[in-house]
Amino acid sequence: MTLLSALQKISVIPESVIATRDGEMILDDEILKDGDVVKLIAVISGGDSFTTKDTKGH
Amino acid sequence: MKCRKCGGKASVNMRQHKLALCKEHYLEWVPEQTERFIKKYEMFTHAEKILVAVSGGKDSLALWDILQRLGYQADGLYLGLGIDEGINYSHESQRLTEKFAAERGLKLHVVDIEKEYGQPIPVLAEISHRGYGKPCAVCGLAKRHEMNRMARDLGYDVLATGHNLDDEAAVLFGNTLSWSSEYLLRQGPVLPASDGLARKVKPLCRFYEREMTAYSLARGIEYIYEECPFAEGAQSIYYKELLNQLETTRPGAKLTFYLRFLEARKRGDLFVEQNVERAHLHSCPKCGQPTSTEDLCSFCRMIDKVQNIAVTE
Repeated sequence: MTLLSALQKISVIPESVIATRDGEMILDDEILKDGDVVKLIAVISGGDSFTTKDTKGH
Repeated sequence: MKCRKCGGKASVNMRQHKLALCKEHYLEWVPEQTERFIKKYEMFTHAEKILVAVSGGKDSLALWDILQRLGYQADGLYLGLGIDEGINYSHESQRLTEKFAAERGLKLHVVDIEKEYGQPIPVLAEISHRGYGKPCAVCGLAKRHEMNRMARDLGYDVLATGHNLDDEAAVLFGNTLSWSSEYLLRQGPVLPASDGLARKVKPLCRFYEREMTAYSLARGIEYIYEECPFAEGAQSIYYKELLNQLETTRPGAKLTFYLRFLEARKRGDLFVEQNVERAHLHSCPKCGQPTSTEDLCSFCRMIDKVQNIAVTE
């Protein structure tokens, strides 16, 4: 299967991660083989710049 | 997928540009594009002294790396927020930032909030009661205050932050949902200097967060992977996730959202500026930074409150 289908299978949005295998970045069309170990690095960072401007409870 | 430049195996695919590049050409492309944006938005020149706000995260360290590669005079400023929460967060991010600077022979200024003002950010937030139980409001206030103070006191011409396209799009999205025209009028790659306020620029504002992650990985930059422990449930992160869902089905949507906004605002298509009341600013009697409040600025007022409470305890 491709990386893209693997990500879809575990409901991970490709836009939110960078995938690496053996220390190298791989793309959505990369074919994964049995036994491959793929590391998913989370891309989204940051925190709340909205706390004071929004309604309470969020 | 093949690299557009050399036909080798691509390591990074940017669907919004219909461009895939191998690691080597990607590492050339990012600084080239950054230089293009620095010039396009007239952010700064090689003659100017730049202070880069660095947190130990992928964006700010990547920015500092890129500016050094482009030959700019860029020193770093790290703010020690004193956030531990069981993972030694601030300590670790400071260690990584200092390591980064030392390895590259870069000058780094460190400001420790607790040393300067008596308490770390989480305690300041608790005592001052600002921010609905999370320290984010106080953190933002302190960071902006201290970045400006250091830029001003140390004679830097411009303050640069590592905000990326996803940051800008999320802020734009949030401000559009609430039609906060005051913020919508100001948001952009450059905030010009005004009396007492240093010019602030975002050289990475057109790069996706994913691209900056790829850059840092490709460059071997060691950055802090963990997020701030207080960021959980943050609205900006929620907006970023929503926008990424949109981007998945509509590649380029985030970039178009931001760029077309800037263009429409510049053309005058968006706001009737005369309806927006400009705040009257004066100098805070304690720190001298501009403020719209009557007496002390918000930051000094918060510090005063905290120190008074400490004295009476």
